[in-house]
Amino acid sequence: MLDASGIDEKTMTAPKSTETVSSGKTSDHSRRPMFDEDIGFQRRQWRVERFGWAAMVLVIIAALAGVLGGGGIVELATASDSTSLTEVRYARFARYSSSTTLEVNVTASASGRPMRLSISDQYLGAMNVRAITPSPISTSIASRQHVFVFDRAASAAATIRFELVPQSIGRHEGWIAVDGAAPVFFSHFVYP
Amino acid sequence: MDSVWRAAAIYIGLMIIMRLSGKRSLAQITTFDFVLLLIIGEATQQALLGEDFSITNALIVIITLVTLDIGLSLLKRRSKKVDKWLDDVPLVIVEDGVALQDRMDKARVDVDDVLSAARHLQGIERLDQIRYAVLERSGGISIIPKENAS
Repeated sequence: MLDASGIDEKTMTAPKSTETVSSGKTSDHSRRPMFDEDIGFQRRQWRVERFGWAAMVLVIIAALAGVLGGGGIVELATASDSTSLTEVRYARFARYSSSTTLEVNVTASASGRPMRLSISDQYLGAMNVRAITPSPISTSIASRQHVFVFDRAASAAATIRFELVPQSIGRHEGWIAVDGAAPVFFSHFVYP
Repeated sequence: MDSVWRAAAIYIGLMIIMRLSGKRSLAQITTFDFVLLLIIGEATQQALLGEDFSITNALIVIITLVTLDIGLSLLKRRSKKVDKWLDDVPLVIVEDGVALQDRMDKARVDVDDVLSAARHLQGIERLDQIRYAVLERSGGISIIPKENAS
């Protein structure tokens, strides 16, 4: 036991001394075949590593800007019809199974009461409607569209907010029309 | 955007808490330290991901955490001061077989911890066989035995 610990100490200090000698630059070819060292491969790997870091920083910048969804200046988009009485504010980029908000602004003179808001059923097929604020007084299904009816005081401006959860990945296109006016088209890209 | 800020906030918050808790707190000395680590992980998870369970969110959070870590490691190499503040400094707690009690009290380590590490690492059984015991930055205790350890 005593001898063993003595040997152990010597072997522990041995590589330390060579380490201090070889400090500084490392040569291009492997000098320690017993360790299966491959300095060429190691250098290539370091280079890839640096590229990877740069890529990760770019991802973070993209995420902060909103390109990857989850909020940010690039993400918000506005679409309106030709008369610009109806305006839809939506997220260009959304994420799968994470809620996104769609806001419909209707200008005061756009419609009478009650207000009928139609959304393409194809779009709603890809989205789970979690909440609508304010709540519609009734909903109905017409050909290729869902109609939400909202009660409102005559000619009041209105903002209706839909909280939607994407149910599939990829591009989703939709349209919204208020009181039979020209539809407003918009689309999201949903990340996995 | 949210994902990045959330991850950064958790990283910085956890770092401050861990540094305040001292070297020894989560060095997995006892079983409970390990349990505590698991609980912290569980508690953090909600705040990190929020209600967003998408792969994109998970990857952004991970990339933010890893990049912060790499960034700080580069910063630590540049500045010794930053390194000390972020990663602590080692502390000698036993010198020539004598326990430096005031240091051990401050670091919340006792002789039993030192002896446990000594048994574990060097097969040493008494304090006077130890030349140096150092409380490392990681919270572990490393032991340098006396030359004529017997």
